[in-house]
Amino acid sequence: MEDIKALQTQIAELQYRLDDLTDFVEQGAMPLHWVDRHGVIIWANQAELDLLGYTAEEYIGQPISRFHATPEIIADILKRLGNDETLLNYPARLLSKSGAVKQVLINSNVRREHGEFIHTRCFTRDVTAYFEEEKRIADVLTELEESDARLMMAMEATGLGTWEYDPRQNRLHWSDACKKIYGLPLDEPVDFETFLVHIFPEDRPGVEAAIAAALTNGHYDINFRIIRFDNGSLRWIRAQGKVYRNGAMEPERFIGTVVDFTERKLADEKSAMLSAIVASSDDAIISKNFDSMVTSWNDSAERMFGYTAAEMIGESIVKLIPPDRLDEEPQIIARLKKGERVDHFETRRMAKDGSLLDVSLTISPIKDEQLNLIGVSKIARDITERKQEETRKNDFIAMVSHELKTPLTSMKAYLQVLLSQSKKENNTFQLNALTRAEIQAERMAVMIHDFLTLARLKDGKIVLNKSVFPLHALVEEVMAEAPFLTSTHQVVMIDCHDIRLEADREKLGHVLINLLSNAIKYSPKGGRIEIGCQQQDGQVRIFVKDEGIGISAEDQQHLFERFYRAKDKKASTVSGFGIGLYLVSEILRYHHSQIKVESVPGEGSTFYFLMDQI
Amino acid sequence: MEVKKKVVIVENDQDIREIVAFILEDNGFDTFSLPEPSELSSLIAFAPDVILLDEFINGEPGHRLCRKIKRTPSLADVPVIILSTAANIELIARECEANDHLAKPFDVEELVAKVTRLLDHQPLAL
Repeated sequence: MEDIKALQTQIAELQYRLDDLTDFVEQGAMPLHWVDRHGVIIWANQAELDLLGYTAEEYIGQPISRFHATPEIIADILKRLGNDETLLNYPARLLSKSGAVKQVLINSNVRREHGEFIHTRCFTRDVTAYFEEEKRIADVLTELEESDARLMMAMEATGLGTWEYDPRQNRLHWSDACKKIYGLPLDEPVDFETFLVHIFPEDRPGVEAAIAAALTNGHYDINFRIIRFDNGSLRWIRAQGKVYRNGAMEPERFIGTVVDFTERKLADEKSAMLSAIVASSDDAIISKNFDSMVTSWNDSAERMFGYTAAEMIGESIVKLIPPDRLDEEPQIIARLKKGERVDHFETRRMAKDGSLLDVSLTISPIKDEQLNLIGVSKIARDITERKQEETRKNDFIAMVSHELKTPLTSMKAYLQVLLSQSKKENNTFQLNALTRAEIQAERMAVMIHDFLTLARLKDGKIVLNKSVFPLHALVEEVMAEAPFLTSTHQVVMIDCHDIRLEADREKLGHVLINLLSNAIKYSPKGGRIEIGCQQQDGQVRIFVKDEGIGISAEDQQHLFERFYRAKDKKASTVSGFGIGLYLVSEILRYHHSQIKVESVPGEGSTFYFLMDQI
Repeated sequence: MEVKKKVVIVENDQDIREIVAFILEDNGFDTFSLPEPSELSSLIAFAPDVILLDEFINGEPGHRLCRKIKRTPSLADVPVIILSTAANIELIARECEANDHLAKPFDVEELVAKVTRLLDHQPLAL
């Protein structure tokens, strides 16, 4: 009995330990299951069922592969276990009932009896939360790396330097980019005092004050000039920074960036200067696009045309064009589109009040950096006053011309009538006297003509009316004038046939008349005067040669200056305005030719110039 | 006896007016000179064969008078010679449809030649 009792006690104890063990595996927090040799789940504890969300009925009796997200992994697991391998922390992905994937680590081996596969002993550890955290950290790190790379790129692209200053240790560190900005060799250290020395002296107090303020309020943002270490050049930099404090609220780290913006500052200054010039210009400066829409309008444009910038920007420039000149705009635009400029185009424009202004326009195409035409700039100068002045001047010249020529007209006519009567009466003395009087009247006519031509010339404008003509006919006309200029000289033409010129015929005739009249004046004893031509290399040398008093070497140098009169005593007794030769030289200059003289005092002079033959 | 051709001289300056009249009469023309025409009718009444017109006359400039003459049916066919001291006389003459021009100061021979030439080109009066 004792034995039975002892056995019962033993059985009771065993039962207790079995229950305990069963509870341990069934209710323990570690998910556990068994799989038979066919891969079918034959047992699983509650923790395993809880992990995946199935009931025992849904889970037990099913092939384990159904619950794995990766078929290759479960195949490998079963293969390894079949080979009696022990799996330690083998990562796998299980499918829960909700569809969510659980990241697990599997620890497993096989229980065998007499070498026969009984079942696996599988411990499954859920590491999903851990895994996700790992992944999140990895993502964060990747993101950080990417943003760091972006920052580096941005810093490199903008030439942004970084610096760090420890105010307690008075230690300063500069990045390579920062050293490049200061022109400091990369392998050379920097300290705070050296930094201060390289601030432009005028800006130093400001920087020191800004640093002191930053150490109190935390923020630092200042523009100042530095003196570069390498070449001493002055550069504008912008420094920005932030102060970090330790637990005791003491400034611990002062870090920030620095960038050289000298080029931008210079560009800004230049742009500001140009803007100021445009704003203060006395001329209207306007820009417009190719659709004739105004895009800018300066103060003078407002003053000149009466419209404000607000009234004109976005409006068509055609508003300023008088109705009878509307066809000008398309013509101007067409020229500009070809990339041409329009210079000093004189026209009229209409102000807001309807009044007409005489303007001189200079219009140029505006191109971008790629040389694309993007618009048009227009400078309009108000020349109304100048035009009025020109009109007044022309009126004055016309009046003077009339006043001088009118008495000469009747005088010359009376002389010619008397002269023809003297010829009939054969009165030698009267004939001689009247001939001389008529020659003087003719000289006076030439002088008046020269004087008035010169008055017009002072405008700097001589308008050539060019035509192609035979030279000999012109020379013959000039020679026909000779009897009105002299009675004591023999004027001959030499070799001027078969020559054609392209020139202003009237003005060239005036040149020859002037040279002939000079030749007569400066050969008081009479003699022979030649008007001749010599052909050479497609050009013709036209000359007027006299046997007169000649011109000294000194006088030759100044002969063609305005109002120059010969210093030579003999020559200075001859009357004249001293403008004849100046006018000759100006007319020839406009013909791209030049008057020249060869002369020997006492023997005579030859005046000549070259013209292209046609 | 041959009927003399009639020339009207419109000229501001008395000396010029008189010498031009003298020259033309000496050359066989009948003249009628006046400093400025108060009305075109005074010209029509004289029935001129040629009109010598100075550009610079009191009242209105010669070229304007010239244009009026050319637009008056009874005067339109009468040749007009513009006389002027202006440098651009040729242009003035062309613009007012004058038949010829003569720059001052002129040569007596040229004056007579121009008047004669214009009369020669006139169609014959029936």
